[in-house]
Amino acid sequence: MYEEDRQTALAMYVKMFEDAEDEQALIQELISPTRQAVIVARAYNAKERKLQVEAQSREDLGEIDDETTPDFVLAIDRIYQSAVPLRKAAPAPLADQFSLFEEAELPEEEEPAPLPDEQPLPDEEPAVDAPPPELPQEAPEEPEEALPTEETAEEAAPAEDAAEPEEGAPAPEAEESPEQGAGDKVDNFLMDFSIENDELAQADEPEEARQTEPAAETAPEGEPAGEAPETVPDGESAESKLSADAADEIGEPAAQGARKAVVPLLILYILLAIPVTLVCVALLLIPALLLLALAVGIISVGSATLMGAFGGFPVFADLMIILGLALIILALGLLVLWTFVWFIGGPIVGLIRGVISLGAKWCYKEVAA
Amino acid sequence: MKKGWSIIITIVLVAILLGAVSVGVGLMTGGDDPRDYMSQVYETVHPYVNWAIDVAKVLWEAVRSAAA
Repeated sequence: MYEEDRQTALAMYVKMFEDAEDEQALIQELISPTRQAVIVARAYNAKERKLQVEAQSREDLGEIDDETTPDFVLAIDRIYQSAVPLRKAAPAPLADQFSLFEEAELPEEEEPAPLPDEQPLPDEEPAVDAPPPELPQEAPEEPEEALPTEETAEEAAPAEDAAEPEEGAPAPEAEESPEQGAGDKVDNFLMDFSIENDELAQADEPEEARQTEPAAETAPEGEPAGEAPETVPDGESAESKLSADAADEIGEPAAQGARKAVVPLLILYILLAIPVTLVCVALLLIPALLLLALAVGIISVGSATLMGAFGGFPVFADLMIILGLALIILALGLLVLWTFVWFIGGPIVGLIRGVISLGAKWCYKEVAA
Repeated sequence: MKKGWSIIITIVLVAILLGAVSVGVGLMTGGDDPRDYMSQVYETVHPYVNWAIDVAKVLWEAVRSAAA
């Protein structure tokens, strides 16, 4: 992903968070940084972007209807359009229901309802693994409790996620955004990977096991609502691994050009290049080894001079002369030694790299996919 | 590599400058014995230097003959 586009995507997400009145709710709407990274990676086509070099007013995020607008900008904008209006509409009932002075009264009215059945806090973790018969009882209660405080809203989300696939509660499905179709693909893609230490690894489990994973995976991702600052690094790490091959697996067309080896020419080139390269390297090694021998000799003499200076010269003037000479000799030895290193790392390594790059240029050709 | 060259040349120039100053100070303050010492060092090193020069000559002749 080009740096400019990355900055654009980040700016759009920053604007999304600025426009959202309830950041926690927006974070829940976005579900996870990895999911957003996958969405952007799927919508990003590097070669297509290379052709769209002309400057675009990316900072104007209001109306994006130009056909030349990059796909990833449209994808983020769809998320923006679906997520932010919901957040703007949400505060209206909240303002009517709560105020700073009503806080003392409301908990007293609502507390008796959830407490007789079950305690709210222990419900969060068992909700994922809870047996199906219990879920219909919990699901209707928790969304009502989610409104009073932000914490309960965060904690109720995993329970909703767990309840969706089993009973198909009508309320969460009604809130699904227009991008849900693309989101399903993203979910299907994320099912195939396990996330450990911010790195994606493809799961080797059978599909039966994968079908049980989504509920378990979405639940822990929704918990850390304070991970908003990590959106960018997670997205980068995931996007760097997914942009090339993972996006193709979902349904994007394959790369437009592929390099294919011309096998006979490659074999011929290898047969010729290896002996020639070996001869050239051997010829270059001769002066290199001579330089090494010279450097070792000079440094040996310098060291002997330096050691002799502290042995048999009681007069300070003599000591200074010997130290000065030793210093000069060691400096020359260092120069010759560095010349040897340069000879190895410059001409010899350059020759080998040149031969390899020449082979890649001659023996590979681009084939349209 | 370019940065390496600049670093090495800087070190070498500073060391040669310090060595020249040391030798100059030693000579101005009456140092004389090191001439004998250095002649001894030279006598010790001289055979190896001659051997290295001979090896270089042989290799050079081999390369010339191979090129011809």
